[in-house]
Amino acid sequence: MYYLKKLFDNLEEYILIALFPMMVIVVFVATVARYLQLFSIPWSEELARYIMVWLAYIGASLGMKRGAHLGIDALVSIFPGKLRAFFCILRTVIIVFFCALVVYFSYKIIQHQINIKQTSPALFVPIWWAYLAVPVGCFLMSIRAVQALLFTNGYKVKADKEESV
Amino acid sequence: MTLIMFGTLLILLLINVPIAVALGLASFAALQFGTMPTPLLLVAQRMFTSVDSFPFMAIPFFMLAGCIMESGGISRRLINFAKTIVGGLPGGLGVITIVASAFFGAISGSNPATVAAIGGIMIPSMIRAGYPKDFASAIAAAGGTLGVIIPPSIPMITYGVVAGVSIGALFIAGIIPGIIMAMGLVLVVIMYSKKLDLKGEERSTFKDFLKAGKEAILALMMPVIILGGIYGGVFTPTEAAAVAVVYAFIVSMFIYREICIKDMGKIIVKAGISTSVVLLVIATSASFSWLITSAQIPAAVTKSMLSISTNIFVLTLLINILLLVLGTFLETQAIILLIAPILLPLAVVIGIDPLLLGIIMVVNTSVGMITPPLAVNLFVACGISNLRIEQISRKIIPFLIIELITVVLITNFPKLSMWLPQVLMK
Repeated sequence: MYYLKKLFDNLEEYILIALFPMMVIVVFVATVARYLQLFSIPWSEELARYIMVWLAYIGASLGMKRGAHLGIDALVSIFPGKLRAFFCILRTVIIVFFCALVVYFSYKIIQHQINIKQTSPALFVPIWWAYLAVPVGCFLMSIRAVQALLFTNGYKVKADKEESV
Repeated sequence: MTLIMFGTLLILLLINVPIAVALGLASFAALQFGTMPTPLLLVAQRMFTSVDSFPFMAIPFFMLAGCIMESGGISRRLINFAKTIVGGLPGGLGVITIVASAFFGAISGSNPATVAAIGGIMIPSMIRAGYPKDFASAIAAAGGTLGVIIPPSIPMITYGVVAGVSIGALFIAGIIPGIIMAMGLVLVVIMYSKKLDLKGEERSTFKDFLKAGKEAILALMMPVIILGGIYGGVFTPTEAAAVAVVYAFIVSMFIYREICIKDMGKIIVKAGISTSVVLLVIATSASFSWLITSAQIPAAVTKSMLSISTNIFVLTLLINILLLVLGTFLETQAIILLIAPILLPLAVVIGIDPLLLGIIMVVNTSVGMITPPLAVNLFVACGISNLRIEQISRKIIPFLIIELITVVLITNFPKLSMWLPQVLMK
């Protein structure tokens, strides 16, 4: 149970640590190999792109957890306490609603891709393996948004803002 | 439809919904309640296809390279090197902060990362040396704006992809504007320091300069490898960025030996979050900007702008004002992704090169990062010095003024940006 909780709490971190170096290695090796004219990897670019999509959506979920997705809090922050709390809840509801929409439509896209057995052009893997990143990331993102609301009261800590661009 | 689209976006932004989510929901709303016969599926699909791009991959790579360099003791070496060059000037520590930020800008493609890397060291040492807290923070925040103007640069990558302009050319075009901006900021620091009677550091000998230069040379080689590689046709910007990651890793890990493999986890997670924040904005902007184009807003904007005036000076001034106003409350990537397609046709009509428009947009949005309410550089600088934004807002004004002057210079003297790429292209 302890390990399960640890896994759930750090899920995105583990995935990022696995995916990011993989992406660097794939592109670096392909670049060096091409430059030295050793060999060429026809699927390297595609693989790296699919890794990046997964990285982006898993990281987006982590960003939600750490309050890195910036909004404009100038207006909300001048409201009195109760009203501000209301807007924090509303904000989370909106995020979850958006994520639900994306999951629903991604599901439709993926269903179609499975039906017509569409494969990727270079790797020849089912293309939905890559598309799956979008709904999975958004699903996790909605969980993290609710967690952030419940456990940090929806207020971002100043330090977290450093991590965003 | 236009009304639904922008109305939804505005309301969502005002109640502090993350920008990426607001853009996505506004697109859903426009498709659902508008007249366009496009299915809502478009948003989800674009969220995949827009991120599934090899040129954009330079963003995570430059982020990671910057994060490794930041933790790997490279910022300290760049600061020491800057100290031997400009430390003797009045307000020495402040000038060092600006020059070191410029050096770091040549390694990192992000503004807040530059503020964190240089300000993290320089703000505490300036405060120890008797600089007012607010002034010290303002210097670091202003120096951070050089991060995206001096190549490599994340917003230039975004603009290059959206506008179909060579990312390599944009990088080279940013060099001279970056240097001008740096000189302007140094000037403000010196003038202000004289007023506050802040003395310079002890003058360094030529021997110190060589010693610090030797220490920093491996870090300073990085921009040479990146830009040289791209320009020499050795690799694409994305490949150059991947090489930069490996280079930064080897230098920090095996030569400077300031990070160990255990630190990498934290560095990767940090870079991963910064990347995802940018990519999520790109993902949801995609459908929004598609809608903008479908609603023929670019043509309408061009027409109405030309009806105001046909004078190029007036028009560029309007463009600058628009970008600055947007920059105060919108996120950089979102501005570039949404506004570039709108401004490009206008720019072509009035004879602004798309390359120059890119530099104008990047410089303007970078200035936007020190203008509240949404001023990421100020957030980071305040985090370091434990001040509130309001407390440093006043001290940032002189820096803001000099940056605005630079913006006007860059806009009206296209040669400043265009000359270097033209010479090197041949």
